[in-house]
Amino acid sequence: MKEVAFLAATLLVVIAGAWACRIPLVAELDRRARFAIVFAIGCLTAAILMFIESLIGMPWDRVSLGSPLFFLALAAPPDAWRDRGAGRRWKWTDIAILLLVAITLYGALDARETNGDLIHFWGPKAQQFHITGRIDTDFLGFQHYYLMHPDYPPLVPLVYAWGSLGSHGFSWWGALLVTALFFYATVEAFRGLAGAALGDDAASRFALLLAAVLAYGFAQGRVAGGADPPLLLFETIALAALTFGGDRLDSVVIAALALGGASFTKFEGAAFAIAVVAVHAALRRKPLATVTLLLPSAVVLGGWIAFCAHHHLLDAYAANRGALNLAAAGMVLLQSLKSASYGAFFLPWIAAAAPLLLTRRWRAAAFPLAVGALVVAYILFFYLHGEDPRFWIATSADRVLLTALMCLVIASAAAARGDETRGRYASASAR
Amino acid sequence: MTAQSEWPSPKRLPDAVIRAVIATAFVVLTVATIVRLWSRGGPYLDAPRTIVDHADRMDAPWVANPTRTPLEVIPRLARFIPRGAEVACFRPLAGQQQYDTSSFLTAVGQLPRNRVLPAFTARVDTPRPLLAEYVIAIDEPFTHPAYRLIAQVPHGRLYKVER
Repeated sequence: MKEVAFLAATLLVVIAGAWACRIPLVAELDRRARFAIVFAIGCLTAAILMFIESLIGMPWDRVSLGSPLFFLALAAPPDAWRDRGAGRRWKWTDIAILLLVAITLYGALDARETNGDLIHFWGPKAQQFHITGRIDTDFLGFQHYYLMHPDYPPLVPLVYAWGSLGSHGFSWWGALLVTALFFYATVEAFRGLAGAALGDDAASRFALLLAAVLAYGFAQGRVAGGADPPLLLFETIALAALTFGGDRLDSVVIAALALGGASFTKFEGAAFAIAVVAVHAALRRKPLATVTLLLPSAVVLGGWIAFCAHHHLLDAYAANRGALNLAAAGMVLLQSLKSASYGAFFLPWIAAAAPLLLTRRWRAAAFPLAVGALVVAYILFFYLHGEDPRFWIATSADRVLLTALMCLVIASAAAARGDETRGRYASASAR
Repeated sequence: MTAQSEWPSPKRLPDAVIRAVIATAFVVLTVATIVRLWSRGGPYLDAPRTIVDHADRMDAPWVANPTRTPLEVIPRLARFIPRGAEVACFRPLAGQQQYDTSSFLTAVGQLPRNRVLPAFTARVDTPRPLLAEYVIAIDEPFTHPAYRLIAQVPHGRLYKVER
C-alpha cells in the first residue's frame, strides 16, 4: 500500500507542472501526451521548489509545499486536462506500447531491473532528505559518504522525497514502480511531439519503436529506481521538441525546460544540454533561440553548484574525477563497444537505425544524429577519466548509451517524413 | 530547412516497408526483453524478498548481487539498535572487518535513523572509545575482543561494543 501511496504522491507533481499547459505546443497535444510532458515539467518544478525551500531554510511539509502547489495549480489553464484529441482512436501500436509498459512494470516489481545506485545513493539520499525535511548538507558532506557523490544533481532524490511525503516514508518498491511511469511518459511525450509533424499514425509507430528499444535497454541495463528513466524523459522531450517543432518559440521553450530538467538530474544531463545547444547553434543558427535553450540549465545547475560550493560539497563539479587518461582509449573503446552490443549483437541499434538506413534522408535526421554523435563522444570522454574504468563501463555504459539510442530513434522518425516543417508546425511556421 | 529536392533523392519507400520494419523490430525486441528478464531466474510470480532478488544473470554467479544479503539481514536486526546509535556493517574476512562498500552503503539506506560508519571503525587496533557502537556482520561471524554478540538472524549477526 505504501508503494501505491508513493506512486500517487509522485503523480501529484502534475499539479506543479500543469502551468505548462499554457504553452501552446503542450496545449495542442492529446491528453496522454500532454500529461506526459506536464509530468516531466512537474518533476522539475517540484524539485526546484524543494531546492528553493532548502535554500531559505524552510523545512518541507504538506503546508510548506502544499501552499505553493495551490498557487501553481491556479496558474494552470482551466481546461488543462480536457481531452482535445477526442477523435483519436486507439491503435494496435497503443496496445503494443502498453504491453511493453506491462513487461517493464513486471521487470521492475519482480526485482529484475533494479539499479544498484538506488540502493547505494538515490534511495539513502531521498530517505534522508525526507526525514530531515531539507537537502541534508550534513549528510551529503559526511566524509565517509563521499561515494554517494555529494554534489550530484538532486532532482531524483527530491522527487522521491516528494513522493515520500505522501506515503509517510520512502518506499523502495515505490521507486521501482515509478520507473514504469517514466518509461510510459517518455514514449507518450515523444508520440505527441512527433505526431504534430509526422501525423498520428507514423508518430505512433515510431513511439512503438522507441518503447521497444527502451524496454530492452531498461531490462539489459537494469535502470529501475535509478536516474536514467527520468533523464531519458527530459532528453526525449527536448530532442523531440526541437526536431519536430523546428524553431517555433514554444518548442524551444519546452526543450529548454526539459534540458533544465536533464541538467538537474544527472551529470550526463548537463552534457546532453551542452550537446543540444552546440548542435542547435551550428545547424539552426538562431542565436536567441540557442541562448533560450541554455538558460534554464544554466540557472538550475548554476544554483546547485553555488549551493554545493557554499556547503563545501563540491566534488565532481570541481573536476576531482582524475586526469584525462588517453592511454586507456583503446580499452575504453573496446569495453564500451562490448557494452553497446547489449548482449544481443547490437540489436537495439539495428532496430533504431533500420528506418533511417532505408529512407536515407540524412539531412532531415541531421539534428538528432549530430546530438547522438556528441552523446557517444562525451560518454567516451567521461570514461577516459580514471586509471582503469573497466568496472565503471561494465556497470553503466548500457544505461548511459540509452540516450544515444533514443537519438537514433528520433533521427529515424525525422527521416521518415524527410521535411522537418511538415504537419501542423508547417502551418504554424507559415503564420 | 532546405527542400528535399536539394538533397540526393532517396528511393521512395512505401509506408508499408517502414511499418513492417517497425513491427518486426517490436516483435524481436519484445521477445529479447522477455528472454533477458527470464534469464535472471525464477521464481517468476512469487513476491521477491528484496529489491535485488532477480537483478543478476543466472549464468553469472560471480556477480551475484552483494547487496541482497544485507538487504535481508539489516532490517531484521535494526529493531535491536537504538535510534541514533553508530553502526558499522560489513562481511567479516577471517573474523575481522574488511572494506565492504556494498554492505556499508546498503546499511546507510536501511538504517536512516542511525549513523552508519565504515568498517575500519571496528578494527582490532582502534581505541575502544572510537569503536563503532554496533556491528552488523553479514554471513560470517565477527571476532573482536571488544564486541559481544547480542542478536542473530540467518546470515547476519549483531554485536555491541563493551567499553
